[in-house]
Amino acid sequence: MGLFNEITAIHFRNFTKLNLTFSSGINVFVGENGQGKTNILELIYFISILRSFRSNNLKNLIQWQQNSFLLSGCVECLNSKMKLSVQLGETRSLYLNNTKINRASEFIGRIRCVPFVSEDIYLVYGSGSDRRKFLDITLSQLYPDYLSALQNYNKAVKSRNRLLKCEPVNFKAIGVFDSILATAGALITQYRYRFCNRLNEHLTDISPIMLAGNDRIKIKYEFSYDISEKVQTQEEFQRSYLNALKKNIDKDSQYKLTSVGPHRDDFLIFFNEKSLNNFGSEGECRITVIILKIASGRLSNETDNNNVIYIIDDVFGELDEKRRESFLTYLQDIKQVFITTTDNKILDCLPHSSVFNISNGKVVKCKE
Amino acid sequence: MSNHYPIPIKELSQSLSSLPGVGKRTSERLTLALLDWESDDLRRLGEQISTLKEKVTHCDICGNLAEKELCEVCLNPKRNNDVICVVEYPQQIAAIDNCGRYNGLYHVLGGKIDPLSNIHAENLRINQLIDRIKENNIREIILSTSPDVEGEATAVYLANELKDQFQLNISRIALGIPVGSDLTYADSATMAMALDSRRPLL
Ligand SMILES: [Zn+2]
Repeated sequence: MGLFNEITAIHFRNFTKLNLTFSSGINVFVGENGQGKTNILELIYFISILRSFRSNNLKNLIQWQQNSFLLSGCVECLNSKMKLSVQLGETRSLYLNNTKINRASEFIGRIRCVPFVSEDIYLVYGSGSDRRKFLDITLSQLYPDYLSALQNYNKAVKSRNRLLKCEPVNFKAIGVFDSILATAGALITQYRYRFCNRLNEHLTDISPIMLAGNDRIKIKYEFSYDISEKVQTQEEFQRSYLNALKKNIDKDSQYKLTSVGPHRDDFLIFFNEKSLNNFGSEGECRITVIILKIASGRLSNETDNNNVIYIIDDVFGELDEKRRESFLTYLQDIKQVFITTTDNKILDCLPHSSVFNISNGKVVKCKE
Repeated sequence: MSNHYPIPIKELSQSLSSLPGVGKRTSERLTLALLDWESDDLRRLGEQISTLKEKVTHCDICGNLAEKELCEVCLNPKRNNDVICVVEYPQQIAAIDNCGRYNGLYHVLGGKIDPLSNIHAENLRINQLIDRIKENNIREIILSTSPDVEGEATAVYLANELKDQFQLNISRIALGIPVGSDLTYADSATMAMALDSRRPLL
């Protein structure tokens, strides 16, 4: 939606106080490893979606011996400006233009941020939950109704699981949560399914440029239950999923867990016809992840009328010179990009960028 | 609380701070303000508090707060007695009644179905509602449970129960944007619900 004009961070990671102003286009942070480059990307990501790509324990983001951190971002979107702030200590407080707000869904999505970080490799090496997290974060940023459906869905799964653990099992109450799961689940599934189809179109465009010869990357959405290939509309997804819940009720009450639904779906990644989730070589896996992220970044940007921002954490080492140039050309359409690198030479390919030097937690802007 | 206050002040302040929306500092301020009151006024306040539970009961019919067996709504002969609006808590009755658009009866469930907090259908006043419908000539039920997963589950559960047993007009209140609020800052969940429950204009 918007882009960052300015950010302020207090007691975040190794920054006691940090204030930076940014331009649109490409912003590069140059510095040796261990100076805090990735921390800057992490804080930009955190203001955007209230998560870290590195740590599930958000306490780790607070500076050593401090109780909380405060992040603020001045965001420009469609000629209007707003200020997003988040304080995190024992609890989390969110502010929009200095007014406290309660729902994360009011906060997330003001800035839509696509990360290119080393943790992306879990898309291939990780479990289904890593891939679902990728879909959920990407789609939550693009579609507010996805996020609220997901929150409702997760709550309803927990409630249904609790009901399955009660003796005697109240099937009438379970049926009620089935219908809530089906409504929320159908919306989630349809967004994910469509996203995967459109991602494949982008993968078809990008593969020839980023891969050798006729190599191709494809993904396929994997349902956790039987469903006809013809299913398309939200009503059809709803009916299919509701049927699957009913069909699996004996198994579910035996194991006291909801065994089918979007919380158990996954997607497979194919390099040519071979599933990478199990059989990829390391080189294939690394390049695949970058291509997947380029495709999903382009898809997000297209969906959001060229309004997403990218954060790119030194992925250039993974690419040879030709692919690196191709990758950099994909950045030209992006409204705002934050790149970290240890390698000054990258700047030769990015003549119109703002450059920051970073050393020992000190950040100095050295080129507008 | 500062340590040099006498114990009675500390104790009262502690009790007040367990009220909703009252923090430590506020409870201390309230306690010190009470210290300035006349003794008679304090005694009256004390009595009001100590007899509160005896003087306020729940309506035998609808579960609303009441002074005797029946509440003001159930006692009022001018209310439409063929429509019941189902709510979770008595305070929601005040909110609906104050809008002046509804003149029917109410039924308080006493909560919503929330398995994660161990609240199930049998813990709510659902059988009482079914008995009321059986014994009276009820034509319409409006389900006004909250717009979250538990409120929705409660509404679906009730709708299932009622439509199997009775010929009724069952509806769910429309959910959406608060009047007078700025659309720009409406959160997306509210916005989505407002759009879902839109109605034709012409
Ligand atoms: Zn009553």
